[in-house]
Amino acid sequence: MGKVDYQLILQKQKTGIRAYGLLCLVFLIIIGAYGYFKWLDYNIFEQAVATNEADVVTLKKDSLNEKNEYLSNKTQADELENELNDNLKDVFPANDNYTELTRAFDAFEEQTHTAKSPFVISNIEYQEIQTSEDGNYKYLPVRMTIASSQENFNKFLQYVEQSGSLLGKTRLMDIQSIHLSFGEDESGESGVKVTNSNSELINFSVKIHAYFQNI
Amino acid sequence: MSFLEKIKEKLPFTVGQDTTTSAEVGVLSAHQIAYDAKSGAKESSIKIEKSVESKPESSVEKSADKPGDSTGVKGFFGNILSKLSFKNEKIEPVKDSLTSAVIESAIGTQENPKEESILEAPPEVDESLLEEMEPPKSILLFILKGSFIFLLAAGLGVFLFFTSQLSNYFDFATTAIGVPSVLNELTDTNKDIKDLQTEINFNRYLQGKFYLDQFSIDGDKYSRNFYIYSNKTMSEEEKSNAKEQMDLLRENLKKSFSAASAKLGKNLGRTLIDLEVADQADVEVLFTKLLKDKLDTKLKELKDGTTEEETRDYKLYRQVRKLIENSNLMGLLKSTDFDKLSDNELQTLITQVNDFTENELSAIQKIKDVRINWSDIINQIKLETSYVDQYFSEGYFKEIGGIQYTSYDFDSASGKIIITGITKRLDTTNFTMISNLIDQLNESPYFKNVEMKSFTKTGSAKDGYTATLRLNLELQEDTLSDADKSIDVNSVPEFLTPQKGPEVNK
Repeated sequence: MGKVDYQLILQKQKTGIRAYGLLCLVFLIIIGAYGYFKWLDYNIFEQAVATNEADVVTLKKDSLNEKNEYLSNKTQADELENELNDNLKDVFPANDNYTELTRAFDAFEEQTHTAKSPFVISNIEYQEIQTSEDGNYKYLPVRMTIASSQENFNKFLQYVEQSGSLLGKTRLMDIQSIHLSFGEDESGESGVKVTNSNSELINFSVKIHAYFQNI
Repeated sequence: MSFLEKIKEKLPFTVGQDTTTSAEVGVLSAHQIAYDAKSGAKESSIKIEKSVESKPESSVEKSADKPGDSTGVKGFFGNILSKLSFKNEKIEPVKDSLTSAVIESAIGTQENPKEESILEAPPEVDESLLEEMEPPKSILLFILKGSFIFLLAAGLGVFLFFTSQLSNYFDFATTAIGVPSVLNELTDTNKDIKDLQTEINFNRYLQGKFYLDQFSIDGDKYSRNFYIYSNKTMSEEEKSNAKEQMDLLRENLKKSFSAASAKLGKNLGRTLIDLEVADQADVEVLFTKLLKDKLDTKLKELKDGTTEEETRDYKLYRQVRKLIENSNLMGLLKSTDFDKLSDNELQTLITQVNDFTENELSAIQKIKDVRINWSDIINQIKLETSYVDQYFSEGYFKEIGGIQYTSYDFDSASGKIIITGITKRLDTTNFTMISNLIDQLNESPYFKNVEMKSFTKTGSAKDGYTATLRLNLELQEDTLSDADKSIDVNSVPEFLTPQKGPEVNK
């Protein structure tokens, strides 16, 4: 019986050695494989961090340069903005500003009208303020009745067509409709010789939209 | 107690002790053997150790010489010998001493060849003696167990290390000990990159907006000069001055356009090593969102601003935000070869840029885009009419007749024009002239649907014939717009050869 136990214990020892040996081997392989692949990942992360850190240094410089460049331009940009806003007060004001518009028509009339080449605004009629369909702006409809020479009629058309430019500082306008009829010349002939003489009188009524911002 | 000592303890005799003790053991052993023999055991084994054999003879002799002990000793060895002889009666019992008994035994053995060895069968150890014995501990097993535990601990350590470094599960611990994981380091550096790149993008877009504003303002001046240059009702001097201004402005426009293109044309994204970002397209989306978020934050802060600067910045950021992902504008900035643009194309570019951006000038531009230049329309009517009546509006109507307009009605909303007038002919072909005029106007890219359904004529051969004129026509606004853009103002002749009309002798 004792011999059996002894041998059994010996056998157990051998089995234990084999089992522990096998377990150690398996664990070693698992840990090795796990550690190896994780180390590869870890190494990639380490490299990524190193790359990122280098990028951060570069980006800090770039960001500083960009910021400085912007700040150097900002003064100029602010001046441009102020210039734009000043011009917009005339060209595209924040409200209908119809009194200023009336003065502008008067100024044009005074500048254009001569005895030989008349330009007389006989009537100005402001209508209800309207808002554009997209809501981006508003406009003030104006009806005017004018007696003018052919030359000044063309000047008036150009005046309206060039309006809205920051260069001319003329209120942005658009002719919606024109009805013009030709008066009699000095010889009493009815009808028009459109470009023949400055003395030919054109009576026209015009409907204009004068635009302003929708704030 | 070592293994060896245990063995010694279990043995029926003592090894390495004095003679007295050995004798006592011998007596015990003899009794044991006697007991075995008495109990009928066929064989009894005695394991004779070398140490026993090498006992000093003197000590044995000394023990044997002692009175009272000789019987014991003789009996002991006698028993041994009787056991060893296996009932062989020829072996004489031990007489006086152990030495002589051994010698006699040896002699006896020689005399009886059949009994050459006194140890016929190997002695067996009593197995019961091993009942409580254990084999020696295996050092290898011990080492393997230790290695296994070590590997277990190492495996756990490796697992914990990599898990703490490559995941966020142990952030509480890594943060507590102030050793951030590599994953967190990557996340932190990625965040730094995102913040810095977004800051760069933010400043770039602000500058881009500035250059676009500059382009729009210069473009506005250019447009005004272009209008003068291309309008046929303007004088040559005005056109010449306008052209000079356009050339000067072109340089400024090129600078601001190129600068805007450089600032806004770049990608917003940057190569990012981020597990959440799969490819470069996602990077672009990510950085675009970051820029939008930054602008939204700024807008939120400034929404209720009261100062002039706050209001201005609010407007600026709102307009900049609309530049982001403005694919039309970006496409224009990237694809335009500025140096190859003609004056007309540059004017078109200005219009497009204003259309694609949002500022006050772009709103103005949108109004200008739909505005009809009536002076051009009137000029075009006169031009088309001169094809039919070569002396139109030259002052010969009374003498030789022709076409004379008495009124125009223009309506921008409907795009309709009504022209009234009269035609006068010395012959009777008034209706032909009117028909020619209708066809001529219909062929013009500016007009369409020109019609006059009622023809009336009065007069005589002496005074000539007069027919009233009432033309209804519509503007071809799209064609008009395109024609305006593509027209080369220098290619339009000042005088067009009349196609039809009566000969006149002045």
